[in-house]
Amino acid sequence: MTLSCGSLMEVDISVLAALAHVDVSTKRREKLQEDILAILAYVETLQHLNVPAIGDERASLSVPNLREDELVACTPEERRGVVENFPHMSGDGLLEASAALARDL
Amino acid sequence: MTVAEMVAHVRGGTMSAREVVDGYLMRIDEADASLGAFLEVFAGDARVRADALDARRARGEDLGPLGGVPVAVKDNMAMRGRVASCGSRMLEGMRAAYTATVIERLEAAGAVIIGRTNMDEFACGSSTENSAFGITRHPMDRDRVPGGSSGGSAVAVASGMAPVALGSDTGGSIRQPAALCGIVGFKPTYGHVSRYGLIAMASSLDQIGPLGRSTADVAAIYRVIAGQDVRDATTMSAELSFPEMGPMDIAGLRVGVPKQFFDDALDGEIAACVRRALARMERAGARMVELDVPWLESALAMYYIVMPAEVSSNLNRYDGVTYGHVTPARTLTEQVVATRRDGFGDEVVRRILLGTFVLSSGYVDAYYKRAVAARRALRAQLDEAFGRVDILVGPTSPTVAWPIGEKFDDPITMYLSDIYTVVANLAGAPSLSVPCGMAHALPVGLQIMGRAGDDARVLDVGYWLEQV
Repeated sequence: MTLSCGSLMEVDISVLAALAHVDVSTKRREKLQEDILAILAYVETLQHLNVPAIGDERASLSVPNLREDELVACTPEERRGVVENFPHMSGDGLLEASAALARDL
Repeated sequence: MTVAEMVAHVRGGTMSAREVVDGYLMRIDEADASLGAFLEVFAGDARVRADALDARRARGEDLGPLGGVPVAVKDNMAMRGRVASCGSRMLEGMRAAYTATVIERLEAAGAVIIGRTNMDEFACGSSTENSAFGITRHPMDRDRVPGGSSGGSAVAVASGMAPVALGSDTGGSIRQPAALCGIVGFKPTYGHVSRYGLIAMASSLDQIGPLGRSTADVAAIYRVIAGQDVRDATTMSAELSFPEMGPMDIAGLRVGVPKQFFDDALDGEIAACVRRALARMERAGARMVELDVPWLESALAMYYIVMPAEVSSNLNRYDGVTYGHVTPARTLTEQVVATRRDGFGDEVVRRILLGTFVLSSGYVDAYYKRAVAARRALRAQLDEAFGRVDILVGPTSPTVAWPIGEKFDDPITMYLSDIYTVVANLAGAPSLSVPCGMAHALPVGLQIMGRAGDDARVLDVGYWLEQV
């Protein structure tokens, strides 16, 4: 799903909410729309400045030379701690997640 | 009592670690019901730990540089087996599977962790009104906010319930509550303190740091928690320098005073307090350099694009599948949406939606990438300024602590309270807030910012200011 370019007034909270996987009630939607438009109007000042050419976004980090990701084993205690936080666990100790499709579909 | 005095008493046997811990636990019992600084007090474990330290001392063992010092910890740092809720329903029952590096280092140095402190949910806020577990109140006026998001840690220290505390600072969340509560707060250089075990808000901005009643106290904590950590790739391998914390001559110190730090947003009485502190420095021989750093005017706009972009990315992990709150639903997708609806509060949702917008196809170039480029330009301009001056000085907050609820429904006004502090986060620079007087009968903080890596100088200047 993409947002089409347009004026700030066209920001559609329900589309944003769907992209972000949050459910915004009708009651909250109006206030959120108003707030986000106000914030976007504030940050709009950047649009009028002569910003240098856009390049590698990582250059904005304080530590530019990051190491490669490495797989590091956790301790048995850490593993136990992770497993204990599973919301649902199957009988054989595996994480159990909800079905991707509803049964009645 | 300072941290150094506390350590000396415990080391010398004139006071036991148990007596120190009991004293603070008693104070929490007396005061916290009306303040709401702590989400959980580890009274039993703290006493056991204090007794173990006393037993070690009796055997002639060295207890370490923080032997017997109680420390309160913001609720977004992991301690294995303990809840780390980040002030959110989303993580209300989640027990950490491992311990943050900063906690390991504090405990190895002899500190006693006495509890976890309240905060704005996922550190999204400047007032500690956004916690799912209630608001925290200002220690001098219970009808006012203490600042945020590390408001619980600031109030714990300011009201004498802990000598020192840890907070995290993404756009001012250590320094602003420290300023509003009349204590010292320090955000170290990005990469000086490990974020391993810190629940992420905005990863290119987040930094853990100490709050205390004096610069010497926060420096004592910084000395212990700073340094490279193989579990956080962004920590620096360079050897760090630490403050002298002794008599200092500031003659010749070049103090940069950006005109953008004294704009229309700044309260007149606060400006007068900061100007008086600058005059003291000048009388001692420091050289004042008026600066014009135009990109500072846009720093808050950059921050309110970069930060929500990173918040929306980091908080994507909260889906109720592997840990945290879960709202059951028919399908996985419906469950994720329902879980996030019930688990997140309004301010977090606002930032997630804003971040989703600035990262979305069609807007990412105009907003996110533009803000990143502007951030780089700000850093270049600050680097240039630091070629002419040793430190930058200005106010920490444009206002003193405000009445509870006053800014709660007005995000722009709330966000403006970070206008002077976000700069250090965008630049990855060290920044200290020290008390510098009173305005409207409430505390005022002065901010000292250095170039990245110059943490020792920032702390030394803060120490000097406290002595005069």
